[in-house]
Amino acid sequence: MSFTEYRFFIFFAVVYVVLWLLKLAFSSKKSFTAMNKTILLLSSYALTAIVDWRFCISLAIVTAIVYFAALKMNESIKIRRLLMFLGVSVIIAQLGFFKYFNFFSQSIGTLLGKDFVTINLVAPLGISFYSFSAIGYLVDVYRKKYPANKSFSDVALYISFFTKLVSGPIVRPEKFFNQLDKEHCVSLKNLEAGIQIVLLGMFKKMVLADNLSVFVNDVFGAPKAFDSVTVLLAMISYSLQIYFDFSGYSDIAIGFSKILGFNFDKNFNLPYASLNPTEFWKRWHISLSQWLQEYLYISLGGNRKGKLRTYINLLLTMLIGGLWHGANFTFIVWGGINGLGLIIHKLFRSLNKKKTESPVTKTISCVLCFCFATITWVFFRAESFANAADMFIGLTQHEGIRQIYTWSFVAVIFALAEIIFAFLKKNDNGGKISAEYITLDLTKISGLTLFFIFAGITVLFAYIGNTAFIYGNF
Amino acid sequence: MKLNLKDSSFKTTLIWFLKVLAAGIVSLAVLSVVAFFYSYTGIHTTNTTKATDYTWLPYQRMNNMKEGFSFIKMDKNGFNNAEIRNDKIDILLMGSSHMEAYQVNQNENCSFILNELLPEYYTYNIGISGHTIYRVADNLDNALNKYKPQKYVIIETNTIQLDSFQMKKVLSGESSAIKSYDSGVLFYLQKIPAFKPVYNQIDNWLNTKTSSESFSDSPNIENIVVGDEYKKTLFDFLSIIASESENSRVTPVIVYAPNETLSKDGSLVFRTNDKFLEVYKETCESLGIIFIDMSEPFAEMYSEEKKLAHGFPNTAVGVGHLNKYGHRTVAKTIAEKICRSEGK
Repeated sequence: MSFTEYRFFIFFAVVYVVLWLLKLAFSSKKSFTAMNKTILLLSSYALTAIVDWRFCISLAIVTAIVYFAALKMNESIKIRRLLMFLGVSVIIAQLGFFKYFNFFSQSIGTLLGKDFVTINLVAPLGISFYSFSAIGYLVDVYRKKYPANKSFSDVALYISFFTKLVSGPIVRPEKFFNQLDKEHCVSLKNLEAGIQIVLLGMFKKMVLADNLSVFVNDVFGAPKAFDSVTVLLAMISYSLQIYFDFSGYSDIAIGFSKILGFNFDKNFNLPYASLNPTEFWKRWHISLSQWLQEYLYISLGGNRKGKLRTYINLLLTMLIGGLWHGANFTFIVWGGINGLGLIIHKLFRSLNKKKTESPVTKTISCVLCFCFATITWVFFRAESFANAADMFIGLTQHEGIRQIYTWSFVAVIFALAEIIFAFLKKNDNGGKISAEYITLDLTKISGLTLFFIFAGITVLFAYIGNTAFIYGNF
Repeated sequence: MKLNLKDSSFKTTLIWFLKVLAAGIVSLAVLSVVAFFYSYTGIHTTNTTKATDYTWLPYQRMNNMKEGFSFIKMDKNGFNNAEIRNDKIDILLMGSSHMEAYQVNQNENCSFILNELLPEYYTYNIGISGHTIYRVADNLDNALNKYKPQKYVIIETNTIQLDSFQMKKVLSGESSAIKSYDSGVLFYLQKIPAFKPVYNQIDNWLNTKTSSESFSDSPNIENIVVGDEYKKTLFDFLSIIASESENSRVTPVIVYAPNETLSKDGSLVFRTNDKFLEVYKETCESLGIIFIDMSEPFAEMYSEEKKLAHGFPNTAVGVGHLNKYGHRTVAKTIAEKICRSEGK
């Protein structure tokens, strides 16, 4: 069930009304908090069960492993490392089995010239994201960042919380647990802010990303039919589509969480305003980038073991990050190119320590960084290497259909407007370009009017069709 | 004023609801302006002549930036014609939204180009949305009586694989007309430009099926066998067109404008079932109906100009209604066929 399906809205509304009724019924904060958590946990498992009840089993297994392993780590110093290793291994094994068994089986079979067995598997809903959340929690407890949470229901809710279950964001455990017993609750203020973030996300997803997907699917589906201008426009359109799709998804998740009283950090911060690949990964899918840095890159040694090891660690991190996105060599290549981009940027920075200051240099850097990202996205989107190659060859085709797709320009204008708006506001944010959620005051006529107009425009221009969230596949 | 439940009193809540109402009215007005330019078809009312199920209001303005970019005005009869001559009508164009041509400007649609290519004949277009060949066949008698074309009646269709059930309904006189809301609340609501597109969007959203549902629901028309019963039903159905044309002493022409898709290697594919096409052609021939298959002219246009007959810069490639290239090619092909059949 996707965030943009009306069934999800009904589900969410029911949960929300129940929480309000509980809030009104329980005067004691403590008993309300306990009931609130129980309802949220039940809702999370109910939503998973609506999709497929068997997915709840996987979710429960991961929760049990994480809870008991972390708890035992608290008790026994001797076996901390073993528990962490075992816990992480079981989670990775489960993830690997569901997502990569067929990929590795087929790949090894092809290498050896044999037909290895493949299984008809459907990966449990959100397995990539809750596995990462679980691993992060275990490693943090092992690293003694905070003690293990003694409440099973809190850990279970952290792993399964339905607004972040399917595609994140990967919320840090301590941030989540801290909110569980503090201020979090349903309130009109949270509703006012949350509903606007949800609407922004819906606009990005249903109006911009989904309309772009129509064109992108056409061109990537038959690149040989189009001329160079159209192929180039499709590549740029995909860069924008994936941004609006996933940042839209993240906004919806953050907005729904906000309505329920949880504050999650933004997951995208104007990635296409980045001046270099390093900055790009600090702005793109921030929760995953941070996770990879903290639990993979640093675990591999980070930059503590010399330059060469730093570069190798970077490359490995990005290759594994690529593979995490899907069981296909195109994702590995996408990760590899991004890893190389980060290495080249680090090398460049070590050779040229002078900071780029001029606006012209910054603009050129920004455009080049966008071009680099656009090239890498071709591998991310393409079904195969042949498809990616056809796209690049398409850039030289003089003959073919020329489709100057209008929505591409609308998306470019919106993306630029976001950056320009942040640029004009940057002095308020310590001179750094940063995205912010604009919250209208819904107690005023002006705020309500703008909100209704934005909602109406979202409905009017939305592409209605079967367009799943891109990251829903991962 | 703060949105805080504890502070909220009846008065505060009432004031807030009044604000919501005011904001709703203002935003509806703003959205209506946007919708008017983005996608506005106006109101259709029941056609009392029964030449078609409905017509648009006389001189109805229509704007479209959703599928193509067009800004048109209907004629005094509520059909899409750039001008109405006082002459007798020579060619009557009938068909669905493709012929209605709400997606292209009036000087780019098939009837306009036909009037240019065949200046000695006056072509009048009563093509209108939703009028598939079943509805056209059902209305044909009334259309011919009303407009009295002298030479040809041209019927556009984008399918030759007909549904036996629908054909039988027309044959038994049980086929029902497309409904219009001529009065009541819905009639007036349609006057608000934002109402219809927003309603349609929400309706489509609520009816969007998930991938698995839509797969199982997909029509199984490919499995229909071209059996003798189907052939007979098709013959009887097309006989309506043939006999009513004969009664009015006009030559019937059916123009088949198939939808095209692109294959992975970039070649053009028509999803036409050859067996059905053959049967359709043969039946038309036996009944004296001129059949024009647009597959070849469309393929030729793609091969020579890399242009597709359907689709727009704001839609999927080659998907949707006929675009200006499609209309041009259809008009040229019809004109050539008429000239050839008249030995010109």
